[in-house]
Amino acid sequence: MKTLDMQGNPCPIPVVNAKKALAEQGADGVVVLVDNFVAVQNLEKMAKGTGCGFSYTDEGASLYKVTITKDPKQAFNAPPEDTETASNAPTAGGAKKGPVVLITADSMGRGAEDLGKLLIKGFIFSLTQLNPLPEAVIFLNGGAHLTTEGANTVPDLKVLQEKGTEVYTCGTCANYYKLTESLAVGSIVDMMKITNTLAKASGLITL
Amino acid sequence: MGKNAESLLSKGLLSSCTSGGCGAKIESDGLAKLLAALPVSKDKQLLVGYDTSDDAAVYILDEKNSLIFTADFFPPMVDDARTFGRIAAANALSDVWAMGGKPMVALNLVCFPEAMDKSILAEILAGGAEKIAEAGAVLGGGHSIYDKEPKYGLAVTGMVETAKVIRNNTPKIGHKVILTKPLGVGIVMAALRVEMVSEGALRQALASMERLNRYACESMAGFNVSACTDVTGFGLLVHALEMAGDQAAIILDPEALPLIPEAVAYANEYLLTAAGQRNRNRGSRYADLSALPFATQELLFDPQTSGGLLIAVAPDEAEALAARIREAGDESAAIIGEVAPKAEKVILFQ
Repeated sequence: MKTLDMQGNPCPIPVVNAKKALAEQGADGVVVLVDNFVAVQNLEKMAKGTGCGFSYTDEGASLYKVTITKDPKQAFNAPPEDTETASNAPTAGGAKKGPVVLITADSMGRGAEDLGKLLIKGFIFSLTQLNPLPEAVIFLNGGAHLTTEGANTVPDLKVLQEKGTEVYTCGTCANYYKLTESLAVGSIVDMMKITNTLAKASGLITL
Repeated sequence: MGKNAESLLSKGLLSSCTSGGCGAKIESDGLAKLLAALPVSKDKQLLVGYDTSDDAAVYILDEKNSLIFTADFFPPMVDDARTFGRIAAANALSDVWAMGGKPMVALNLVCFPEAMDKSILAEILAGGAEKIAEAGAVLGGGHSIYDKEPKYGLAVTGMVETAKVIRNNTPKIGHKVILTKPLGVGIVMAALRVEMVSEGALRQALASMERLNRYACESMAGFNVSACTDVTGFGLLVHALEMAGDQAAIILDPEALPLIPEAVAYANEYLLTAAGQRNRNRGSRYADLSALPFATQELLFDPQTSGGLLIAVAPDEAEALAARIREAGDESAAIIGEVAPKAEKVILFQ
């Protein structure tokens, strides 16, 4: 698969060159190196819009490696038995789909509250070490506090998000606690999106 | 690509820059957090400060009049120096008109590479001077420094009757919303950058960016206008979000949006800017765009260098104001929506 080093090139140059590479005869995909996350997002729009597979890895030091495959099955959600394509596509956390995690409070377990908060921070950190990574982490009710400014869970959630895990906060909950303006990671979604994500989950962890 | 497009790419002005025009703005989310940490001025003379995300500062001068202060500058989005100068000046002057005022004095703000040909700078300044004169303002001086990438803009002082200051976030429920210039200049300039632009689209984008908002602003005189802002780097959707404020929602009619026609095709070719995606990251949680075509979504987030005015006006006067603005020369001006009571999503679609 051809690799394009697009570091230092502003949008739309990485997208245009990736499209050209995909259009070349015999191309099965392209690897694009970019230096900012917004370029990753623009490449994702192109890949998904043109029916391609898309995955990326955060290589650190402002380097992202984006893989776009002409066969969408080769990308993020490739079936586990398809080992050859899975190893070709450097996906975040492997090719197998991880569980969906539903977090409904800003502390873990019943008992001392400060202990509960310590536990939930540790839990979210350990999610970053899971293989495969969670498909999505959903925050409901008091859990909405964990995705907003000042929460000590935000850095680990950002790591999860950059590796490809969706981070969702319930819009009604964010609104209720007046947190909409201070969302620090992920996106705000409605109950329909939450329900759909839960219904399609390959596994579910609820706190 | 036509001759005009080639001449706009010939001098290396653009290639020296990583991002140009209003697309170079720091995202509004990031800015709001920084500004929140600064002490809010308690001076009663400061009618409009940075505690709101209004376009310019307004300082009460005497019983009747207020001064408007604003500054804007950015790196080139075209290679032709004089064109860049005109666009940067038109953009910098615009904030005064967005507040309902009249520009009085402008100062040049210049960053320029030590190794670059100074005749390019002379051309940039000449372009700026053209627009300052067209604005009816005077050039009062300026300040210039060496920098790796060229940047140009103006600091502008304007005047407004204190009672007639128009803010950006005070729209009345039921008022109609008018946009005076077509959307899509960010996407068209992205197409220029990758040499995929058509002559017609480029001409329309340049004409739009060079066009002063003076004429649209002057057209508002005598109309019942409740809010106004200029649409710039944050794109229509985020500027509409600012206009809605805490008290309202804005219903947009995607069919009514004035567009540079080719921009739709370019968006479908994924000729997208980084600033557009940053605007999407900021604005998408306040609007459900899932029912809209991809290109329409992108145009709503497209950063507009020197974009048009977004005006909230009484419903029974909206047609007349839009017609007057079109007569004054902004031919694309259109009613694009209305102000509604606060809802779960701040921006709604018809």
